[in-house]
Amino acid sequence: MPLRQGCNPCVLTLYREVVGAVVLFCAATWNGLQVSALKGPVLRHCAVSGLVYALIRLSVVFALHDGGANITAALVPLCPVLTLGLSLALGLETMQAHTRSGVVMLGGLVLCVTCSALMAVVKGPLAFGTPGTGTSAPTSPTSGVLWMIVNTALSAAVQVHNKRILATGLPVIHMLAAISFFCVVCLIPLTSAVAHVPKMWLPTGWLIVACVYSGVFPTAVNNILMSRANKHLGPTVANLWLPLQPVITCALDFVTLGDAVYVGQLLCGLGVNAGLILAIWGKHEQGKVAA
Amino acid sequence: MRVSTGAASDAALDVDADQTLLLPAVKDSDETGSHDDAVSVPPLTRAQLVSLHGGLFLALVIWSVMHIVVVRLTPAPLTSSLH
Repeated sequence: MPLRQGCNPCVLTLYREVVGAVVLFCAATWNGLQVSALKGPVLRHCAVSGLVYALIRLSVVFALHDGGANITAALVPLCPVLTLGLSLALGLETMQAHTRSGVVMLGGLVLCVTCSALMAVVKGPLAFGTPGTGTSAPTSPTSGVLWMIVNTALSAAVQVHNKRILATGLPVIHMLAAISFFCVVCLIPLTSAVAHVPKMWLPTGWLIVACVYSGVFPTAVNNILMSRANKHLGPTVANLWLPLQPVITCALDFVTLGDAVYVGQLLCGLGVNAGLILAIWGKHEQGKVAA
Repeated sequence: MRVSTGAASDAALDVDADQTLLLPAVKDSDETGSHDDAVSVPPLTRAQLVSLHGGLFLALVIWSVMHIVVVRLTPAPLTSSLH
């Protein structure tokens, strides 16, 4: 029971970001990063993104605490919708909603988001496996929902903001190294405000492994993958895949932990995949029209 | 207003950027030093598209593994000493 041993989850988030920042900085240095070249408006925009990333990391911790895993998973699909709205509002992306591809894209997005949200709350009859005991119960569902709305709105905003930074020609890895640095700088005082007991800062055993894994893969590698997609495909498509996460988690749970799979989850998973394919195809066709 | 993030239209970014809402404050790359992957991006090949979407899929798998390792395998997911 590693997480019951006293280390604060916000502290774990900070440690994770420190590991991620070190990995990204090393990769950026290997890629030719010159710190002295990072200055002016680009540096200020990276600092803003770093602050937003810090708030994103903490808000999901609060959402998990207050709302539990199901509410958190149910609201993640808000992210691509908010990203699309923000991108259209700022002129970063265009969409011809009256064309066939536009209708298909929007329909796919709605299907994907709806099924993903339903998957977190609707189970239906048992299909395979043995029912488990569940992972977490909400302590304050309303607060959890509000934290996740904040989280998804910030996630959408930061992808759109990063797209604008990338459009300057700054390499992805250099941008992420700068953002990670500022994220850690912002997380230190925020975490200190929450975890004020020294015991809360001591990770042990599996927590150290979890921090290293979270820092290297979910933070560093995923940020690179997401930012590459953001640069070339746009923020909406980069976030469009997020509704697939509950599906993959469900499948991995079944394979690795033997958790039960319910009919509702299977149907919703199929809906998410169908919606994702439709939305990406529609977006691809829209790109052809714009070209 | 022809700025799109579609693969084929990214090349239009530098052409039309001054007519758009894009990059009001961060447009000037001179202040950032030289960066070799410039604003103008050639159209993506099918292999690159597959690579990018495959990367996004991989990112989700990584997150899902973290979800299982960090959350599912520990009884109190990130909540024990919060507040």
